[in-house]
Amino acid sequence: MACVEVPTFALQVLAKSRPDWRAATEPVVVIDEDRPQGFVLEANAAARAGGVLPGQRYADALGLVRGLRAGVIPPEVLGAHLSHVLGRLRAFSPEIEPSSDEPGVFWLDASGLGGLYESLGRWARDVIKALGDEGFFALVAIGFSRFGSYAAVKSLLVPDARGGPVRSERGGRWSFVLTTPEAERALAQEVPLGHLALSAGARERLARLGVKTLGELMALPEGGVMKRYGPEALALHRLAASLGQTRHTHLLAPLPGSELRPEAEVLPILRRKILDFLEYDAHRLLFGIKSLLDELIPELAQRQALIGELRLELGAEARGTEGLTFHLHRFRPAAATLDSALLLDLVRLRLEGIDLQRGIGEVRLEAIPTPADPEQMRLFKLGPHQDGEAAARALTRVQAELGDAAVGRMALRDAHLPRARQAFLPLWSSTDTRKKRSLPPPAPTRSNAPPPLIRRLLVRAEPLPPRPRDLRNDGTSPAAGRRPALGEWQPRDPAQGPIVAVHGPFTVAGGWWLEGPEVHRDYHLVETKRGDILWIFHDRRRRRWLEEGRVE
Amino acid sequence: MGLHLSLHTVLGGASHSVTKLEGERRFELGRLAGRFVELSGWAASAGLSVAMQLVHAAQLEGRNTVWVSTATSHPFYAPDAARGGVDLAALPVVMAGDAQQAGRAVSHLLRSGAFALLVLDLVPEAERTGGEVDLPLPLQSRIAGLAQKHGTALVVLTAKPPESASLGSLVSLHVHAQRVRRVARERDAETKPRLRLVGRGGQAGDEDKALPSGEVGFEVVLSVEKDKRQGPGWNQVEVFRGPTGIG
Repeated sequence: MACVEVPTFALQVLAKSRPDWRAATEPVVVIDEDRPQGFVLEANAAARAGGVLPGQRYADALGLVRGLRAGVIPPEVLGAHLSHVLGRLRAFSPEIEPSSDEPGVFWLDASGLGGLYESLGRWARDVIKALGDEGFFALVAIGFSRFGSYAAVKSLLVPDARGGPVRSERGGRWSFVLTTPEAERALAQEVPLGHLALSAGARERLARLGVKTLGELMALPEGGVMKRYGPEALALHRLAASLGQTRHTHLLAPLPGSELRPEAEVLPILRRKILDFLEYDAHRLLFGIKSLLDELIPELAQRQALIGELRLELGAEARGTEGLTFHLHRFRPAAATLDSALLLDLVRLRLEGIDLQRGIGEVRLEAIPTPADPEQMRLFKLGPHQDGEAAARALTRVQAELGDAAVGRMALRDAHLPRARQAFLPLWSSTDTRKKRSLPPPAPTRSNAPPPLIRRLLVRAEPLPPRPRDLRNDGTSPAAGRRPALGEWQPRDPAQGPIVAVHGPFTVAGGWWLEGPEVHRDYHLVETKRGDILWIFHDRRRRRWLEEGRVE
Repeated sequence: MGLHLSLHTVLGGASHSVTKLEGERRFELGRLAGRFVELSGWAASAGLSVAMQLVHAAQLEGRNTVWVSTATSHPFYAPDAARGGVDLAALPVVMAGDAQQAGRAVSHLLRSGAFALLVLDLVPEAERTGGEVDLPLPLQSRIAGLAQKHGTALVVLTAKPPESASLGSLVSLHVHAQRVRRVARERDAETKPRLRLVGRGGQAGDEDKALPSGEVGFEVVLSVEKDKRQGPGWNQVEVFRGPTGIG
């Protein structure tokens, strides 16, 4: 694992952009905004010597140093230079992870390069030289873990009088190759806290107790660090404590949990289409562009990238020559996207204003990708109405208004009585402490059979009117007294008409093994003259007919 | 240059533009998106079963569905729904105390845009109050607008006789679902399962779907009482399996 640092990256970018400033000798600072209330972000050695420190107000810094030069580096400029450095580093390793917290810090996988470089030291020197050719001063440390190599590269800087890092050579070298994890740990202990990305407040609190190096921080008990200096110092303490805990024999084998998280290289994707005939119709042309875009989007999604810019080149027939003249049109959506509808809408608007009288013979479509984070990709992969997290948020709002018990799901249960075979359960269990709740994606079962009619249970079983005596029954049948006389028995609602058909019984008996009363029910499905299908049962113990539900 | 392109046509492809009117006259989930649909039933009602069939169809497409009921318990018999293939774990059920609470819940759920289908079951409330449930027009306006905005099929179950007026002028489609007759399974010479009408003559609606052995089917007619897009007066016949035990 190698760590490459371009120290005071913004300051170096400023120096590159203002070559007329003698940044090596004149006091120069990078500020966040060009007004007196702006903050100093980085200061060079001359400014530090005058008492200017990062975190001060620009007005205060001006009061401390006469002739202080200051500049603002907008984020997009900083990002462009970072991308440039990243591109340059790709010549030395395919797997590179830029630091998201500290611009100018990169981790590279330096393994497997033995066939190309005679030694790791040579590799490191070549990296420094390559960045030097681009106008950047860089330091390289090769160690066994992310944090170990990071600490090692910080040890290549020496502190100035105020504890801040200043570029300097350590033993005449700008690179460091660690040979054992123990050496990595020992070196990390010497690193001044001022060189690490620790907030000024935390650094000051530690300095008050004389804790100025990483080794001194590691000597403190973990619980006390959290209590006295907060989570920032604790995170640093834990990272430092993890160094050298595992013995490794291979120099470049990463420590557990310290694997590289490389950033994928995103290259533009180009698709072209040569038209059989010159196209004069914008509508048909838009269809052609759509087919190219439909090819680009799945490939970008596979690369975990979004379209930051779409370049459309339309080759029109040139006057007086046989070739085509290409005109470039750029489309930049407000935010990087994979939404083809949005991109095509932008293209459509442009096509409406283009004169196609000369005819288009070739279309080239190039997507300039930008890396996407997993959340963005998740949303683009989801179709409409498939966002379980959005559904869960809406259901939580309903729960907040109607009460927790109002939202749930029906579930099946093993039970004898039909009414007990279902239950209304909470949608999420009370022990569910996930950060993000989500409705599970549905997993229905397919069937070639027609769908079933669904029954609805009454809130409680309602008694039916008394059953008329079956005059045809001679009283010897076991079902005597239970079978209704068809055409005479009225259901609860007289509007339904008399019961004209009975299906059943389906007997359910149980509970005899419990201390409570035994249950014995004969369930029937009955049809009324009006067409209703009722679900009724005869309760032997209570000697009553009750309506359980109906088919709807 | 006064060129006006229809992006919808481009995105939708040519197949949409050549769809015949007859094809539009189908009561299926894809044609209910963004519409305020009233599904009524009376006597031999099949509204609940038809709504559950829509839930199953939405789930087969991997889309979220939600059921809002005004009942204090038992919105539908869960074993029957599971028998139809519905994934109960992915079907959240909201039990509102009354129609007004249900309306507010529906607003919250529709506003999220996360659901392809929302079923609002007003039948238990009608039974509890002993009359037809009236959804206030402002509420109807709000939920119809939200359904249209997010492309959600909003299906409201009601209990009313056929040819009754719909819930209101904002209802886009009013369908009355009624069981009309029984169909039974028979085998032809090639042992291919077919459906045979038990009642009056005619053809069963869907012969491709075979009734399992020993089960009885019911023909359900979906009568379109009101359709703001295609016009009323068309019917659709579906076949459903009867509950276990009916012979």
